[in-house]
Amino acid sequence: MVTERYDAVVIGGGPNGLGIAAYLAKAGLKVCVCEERLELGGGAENVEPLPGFRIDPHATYLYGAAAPIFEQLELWKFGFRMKYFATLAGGVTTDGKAIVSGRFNIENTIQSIKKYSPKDAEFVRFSHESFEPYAKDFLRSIFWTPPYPLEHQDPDNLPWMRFVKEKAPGLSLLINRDTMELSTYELLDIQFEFEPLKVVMGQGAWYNGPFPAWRGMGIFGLATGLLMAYSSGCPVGGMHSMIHALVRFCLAHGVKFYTNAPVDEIIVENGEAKGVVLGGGYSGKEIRAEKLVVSAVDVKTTFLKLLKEKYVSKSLIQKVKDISLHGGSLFVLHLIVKELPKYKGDAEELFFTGKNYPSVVCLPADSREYVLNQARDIFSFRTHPMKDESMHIMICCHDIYDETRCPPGYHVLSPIYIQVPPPEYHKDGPLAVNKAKWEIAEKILGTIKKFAPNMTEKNIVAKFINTPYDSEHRNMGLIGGNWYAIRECEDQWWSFRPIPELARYRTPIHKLYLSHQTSYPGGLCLFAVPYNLMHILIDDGIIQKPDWFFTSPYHIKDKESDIRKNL
Amino acid sequence: MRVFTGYKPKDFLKEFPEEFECDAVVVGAGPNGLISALYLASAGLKVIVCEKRYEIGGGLATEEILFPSNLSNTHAVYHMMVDYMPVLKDFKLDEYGLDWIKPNSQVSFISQDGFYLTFHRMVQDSKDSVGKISIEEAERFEGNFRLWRRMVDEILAPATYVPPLPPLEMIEKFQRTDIGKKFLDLAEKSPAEIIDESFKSEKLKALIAYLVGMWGVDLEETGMGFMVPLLVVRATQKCYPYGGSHRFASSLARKIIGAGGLILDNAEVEKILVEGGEIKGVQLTDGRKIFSKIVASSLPAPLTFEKLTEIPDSAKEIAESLKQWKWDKWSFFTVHFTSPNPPHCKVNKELDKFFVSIVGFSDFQSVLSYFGKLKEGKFTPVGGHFTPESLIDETLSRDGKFVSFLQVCAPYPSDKEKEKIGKELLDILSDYFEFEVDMFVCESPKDIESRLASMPYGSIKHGDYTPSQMGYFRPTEECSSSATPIKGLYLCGASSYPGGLIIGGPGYIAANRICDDLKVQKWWQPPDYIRKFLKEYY
Repeated sequence: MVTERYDAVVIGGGPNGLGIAAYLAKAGLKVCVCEERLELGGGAENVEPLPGFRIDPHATYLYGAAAPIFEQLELWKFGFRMKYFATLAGGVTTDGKAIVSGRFNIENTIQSIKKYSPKDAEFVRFSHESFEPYAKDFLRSIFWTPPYPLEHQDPDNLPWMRFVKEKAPGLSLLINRDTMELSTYELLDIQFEFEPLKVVMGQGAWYNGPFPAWRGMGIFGLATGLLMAYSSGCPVGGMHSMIHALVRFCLAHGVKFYTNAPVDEIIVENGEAKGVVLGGGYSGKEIRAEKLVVSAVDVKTTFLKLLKEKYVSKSLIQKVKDISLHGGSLFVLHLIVKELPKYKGDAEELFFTGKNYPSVVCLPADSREYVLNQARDIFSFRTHPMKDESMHIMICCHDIYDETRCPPGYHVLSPIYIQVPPPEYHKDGPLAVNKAKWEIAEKILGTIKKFAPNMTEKNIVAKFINTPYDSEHRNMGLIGGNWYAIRECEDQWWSFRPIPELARYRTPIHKLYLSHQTSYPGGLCLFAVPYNLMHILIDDGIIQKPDWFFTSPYHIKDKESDIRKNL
Repeated sequence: MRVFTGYKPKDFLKEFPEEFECDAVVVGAGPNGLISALYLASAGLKVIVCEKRYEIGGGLATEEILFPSNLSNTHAVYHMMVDYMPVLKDFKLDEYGLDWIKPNSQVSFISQDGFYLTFHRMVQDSKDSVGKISIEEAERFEGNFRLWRRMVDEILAPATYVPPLPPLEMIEKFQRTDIGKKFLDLAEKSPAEIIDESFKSEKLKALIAYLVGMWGVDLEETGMGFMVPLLVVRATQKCYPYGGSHRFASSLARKIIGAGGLILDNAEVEKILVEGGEIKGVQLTDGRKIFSKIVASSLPAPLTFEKLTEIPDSAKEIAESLKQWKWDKWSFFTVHFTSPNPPHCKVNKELDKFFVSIVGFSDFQSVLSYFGKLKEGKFTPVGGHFTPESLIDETLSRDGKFVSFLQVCAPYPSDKEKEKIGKELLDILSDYFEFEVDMFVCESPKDIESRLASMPYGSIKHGDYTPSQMGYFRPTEECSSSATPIKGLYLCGASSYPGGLIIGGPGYIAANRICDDLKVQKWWQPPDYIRKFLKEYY
């Protein structure tokens, strides 16, 4: 087979691989993307297991509305279209309380909370009004800024602290040196009194990254929730259709795609990445990169498999092996139903009569105890939650806002989540959850039925499940079956993600860069990793800064001498 | 109840505009729609393809129906015209991720008594297999096969990619050559008559009859005999795109975008805008309007006409006649399954590795009566064709399983007690193959319709193959070479001449016609074998 030559070879066609491929192609480079699966998009995929009904195995919300990529690449020209979820989230309690929340439905949000806590309702209004004008820039300061070099960690000078100081001093109530030490729950406890509201917001953090009881992650927990609230929607048809727009952007800019083309090895010569060798149906084919190789697969696969533990120090390999995935992983249930769940109590009027049906409902919202118990089962006992007191569930339904998902007369409740241990952390082995999957599904359904008695077998047309084990087989980038790749705790966040030596997207191998959710700021299809990586590539002289590429105002360059110092 | 839809914030994320203008809109991103779009885009037209589904490809679908982790080709899997389709060479699609696998072990027919016949890519191997019956039958097989192969190469294949001739003209012109005359002889008969006259062995007749009937051709219908050479010869030359049929579609789509075209998915065309007898564009269900002077619809003709906002007098008669359109007589019921290991044939291990294994039939009569019952809408599964997909394509499984399917011809809708039928089918298969089932999923003719709106009643061919809907009459006399009496409206789908089954004919013919009508320079030329045909007969 003939060796092909490009400026850049990108390994992996998930959102971060496609994102960097698109950026580089627009910057004028000849780019090739090698994807192991038939379909591009990684976890941003939609599947039609039952004719006419589409489920979301992974990515289900747009979180990245604040991403510069939408402006920089003008994805709308390639068919990008949105569906907005007026009522984003809701919570119901065992004693029939119900609240909703949504950026585009703020009055009803406030009214629903006011019923139980006028004080919290007022604070929701206050924070909405304070955040709304700044949300985009605030989010960009956190997520769309490359992590700082280790020697630049002065808390007062971190991007989000600078943002608050310079642009939105009012927010210093929540974001200051002291609150940096707190967990999401602790932050919420400062301002709110109504527990169900805090439970819903806490789940917004966990299902997007950091567990709400982890200290030092409170600001990021709230910020990830804010990402979701800011975007409040999904591309028409599901997250995969955004991938289509991006892929078509790439094609229009000359990107060459190889699909069903797993990479076997990264070619390294004289300490420089020079290309890749393909496996599978293209076994042995070499694709050469003149300027750079980007690994858009996870950091463990990159170093342990594609580089075969060669070229880097033993100490770095040890750190890569020690990267923890143990932040909980998703057990995903999908239901095709005839009727939406009719929750008892106040929800009936709020959701149905008031037309505030939330795109995701979390239950029971009574108390964080359920969440803490679930986490304890996973983190400490290393087993999947099965007890009533550990059952905390998230139930999404998007077809109420996006009619392309299923025929009229039905609803697709997809995804429905609880969290379980990642396969390699389960005390009974990687297949333990798979063996118990229908039992777990029954437990989930039993719990939902207590809140919504119409969720009987008669109402359910079909059930599908993907466990973390399934997920990591379906998408090799979702290591541990995790949507955030590796645990989003303080030790694996910001300049420590995935490990300090790799946090600036560089690797010890010259011209090999990382663009995967194992790097900062994690998953959620934010296109933040490729945006941040662009800064580094510009700094390293791999590309010239294009006119259309605006950089983060908080970006710090390495000192010339520092660039390779840590490596 | 979807009372919650419709919220749109202002000045937020920029989206594809509410109104857009281009040179040509192609409705439907199935193989023919994509082929049309690709030629048009490459000729310099600004083309938009509107697809209702979330994925392009139509019948070129490789999807994870064995959820989670196992994909199967939910629709097209046997690609019979790869050796001829001009689009593959014109656009060098092999450089865009297309890799056709064409196994030598093409078809096995395993009868109930354990006797089996095999057809191969190499004709000598097929003949050797028929030789088990008798030397004479093997000679007859080879003689007929060689004749039929010439008919395909010299007439049927090239005719697939040029507009049809009116019947009288065709008869007159085909009289010019020996092979043409022989072809006309066949064309007057029914498939069953031809098969019966050509062979003596019950088993061989059964095999050949199944290869014709499985595609919904009525074996007893006079005038359909010409399908025998095509479907039998090409059944021995089937290809499979490594990675799944969807790769064919995605390679076309990649080229379309590369040529400056645009594809919108989740974009159902609600109306085709007609004003003053001329095409003005389309309107999507979300209200977006795309204005263009050309609309090429790959939907079946009756569905296309239903979408017109106005039917000019010149087209009223056609619209009326399309209300009588006959959908496919029968469709497919498929059970897709995964097993931990590859299935093994109980009869002989050499039969393990066939692209297609036909099981459940014993003789010619059993095949005729099975299809006869289907015509009456009766579905009593006897047998079908089995493909162990993972044998050819290990990429279909993400968790090391083996993916296979057994498909049987079935009347619409056949969606009652699907699971029970699926189990019955697997029982039938287990008489011939040894396998363990991890997971199985059934897709009925009704499911085909649900997945692909262009296939009402599970019509995989967008309409029945019957003399009044074939050739010059597909879909109607006036529209069979893709242009219609409505200025700017073209039909480029399988309901147009020459028909369906991923042959790429309608799409190619329509694109050529549109370019001719617009006087757009075509950079491509038909391949030699088509030019020779045109020279001889046109």
